Amino acid sequence: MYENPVLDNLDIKNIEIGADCGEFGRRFYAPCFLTDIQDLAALSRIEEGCSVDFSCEADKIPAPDSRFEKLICANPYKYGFKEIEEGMKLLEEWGRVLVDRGEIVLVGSSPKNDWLNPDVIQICSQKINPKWQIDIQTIDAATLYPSYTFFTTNKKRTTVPNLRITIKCLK
Amino acid sequence: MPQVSQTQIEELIENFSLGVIADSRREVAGLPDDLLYAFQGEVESLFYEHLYLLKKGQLLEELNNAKGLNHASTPFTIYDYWGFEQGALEQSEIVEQKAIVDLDFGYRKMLVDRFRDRLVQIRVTQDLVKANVTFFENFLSYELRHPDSLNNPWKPIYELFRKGILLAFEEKSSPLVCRFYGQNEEFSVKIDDRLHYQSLLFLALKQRALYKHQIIAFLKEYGLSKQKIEDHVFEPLRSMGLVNTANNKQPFQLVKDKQAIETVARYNLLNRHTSAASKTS
Repeated sequence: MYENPVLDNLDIKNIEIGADCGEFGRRFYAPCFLTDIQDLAALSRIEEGCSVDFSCEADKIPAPDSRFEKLICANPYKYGFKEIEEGMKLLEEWGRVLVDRGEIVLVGSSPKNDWLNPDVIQICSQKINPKWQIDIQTIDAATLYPSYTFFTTNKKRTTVPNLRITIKCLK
Repeated sequence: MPQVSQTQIEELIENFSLGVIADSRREVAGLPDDLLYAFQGEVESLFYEHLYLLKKGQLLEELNNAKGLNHASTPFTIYDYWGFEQGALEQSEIVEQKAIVDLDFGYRKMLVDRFRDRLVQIRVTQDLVKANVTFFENFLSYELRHPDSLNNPWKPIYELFRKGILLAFEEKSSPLVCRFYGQNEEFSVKIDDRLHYQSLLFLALKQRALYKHQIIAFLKEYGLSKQKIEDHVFEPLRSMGLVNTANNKQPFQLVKDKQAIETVARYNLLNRHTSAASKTS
């Protein structure tokens, strides 16, 4: 869609990265674009409930600067915040597409999932912009996100996140 | 499957040895077929065990939810593999049915660093270092959290490391391709959507049957036709030297030890040559 900006829907202010087969962003942060690195439409998985608005890599979002108010990422796996170098690339790109005081919302299982390491997130965030404000919360997913089932990559297993990290990106 | 002690892990790292990896497929082609078959069979059986254990959590989860087994017809991709991997790490309590021990991140990091250093010392390429460090890291994450577990999905991979074998995925959308590296050998093995049927077969072998007709009966419960079972289950496994079926009346054998693999590989090789000769005559 973003290959043709004319098709952009400016009413949609939020974007989910790595949505995979879920619709977390659309359920709890609507209106929200769902994106994933996999071209799920090409894999003919729509009948399984796997459908995204467009495909893109997490560190190469095909959108102009300051386009979104919130960027959501749930259960990142095989990309994310395991290593500082990759974490820096992601946060720099995510900060770019967010407006001033826009928010990055990260949800996942920590410390079981190495790709959502709060220490790495804090270091990267402070390196990019010391003004960014980080809030790390232990959560009860069933209460905070009721009636929603979280899955691992490609909807293979159910999982239960226990952590939410919110970064307010001041410019 | 016996548990692995910390001493064993440290010994593995110290004694880990790997031959020079072949640079070209020509070198591999020069090796005797039966040797390749034997080696391939050994690696494959451990790799399939790894996949079986990765899927164990999902099977238990589905059975608990009384939904029955899920038979997706889509090809098995690297993303599916990652989904199982992530599930095994995040939801291991489902399989173990008990609370996890807190992971000692410092100890894990120390072991992983030493493992990585050993791979670098023996001049393995960076991609291969990265892939195998991840396997080792996952093995440790599970092992340290569940020290008494018999279900660690990376235990079979650990066994490969002990034999001086490294492995890595080539990331392609479908089919999933694995490249196995070992002492002086390198070859690719294609794992395609038949994996789904093969994993069911392994379930059958472990739980239900030792005879081909019993396995067919088991797989038919999941709606697979006789032809599909033959084409997607028995033929690929026979060609890989993982199983041996002389005829329908003979016991169906799961090949386990190296000697048996070599015997089966020779049988398959001989059988193939005999079939080819009869076709040309």
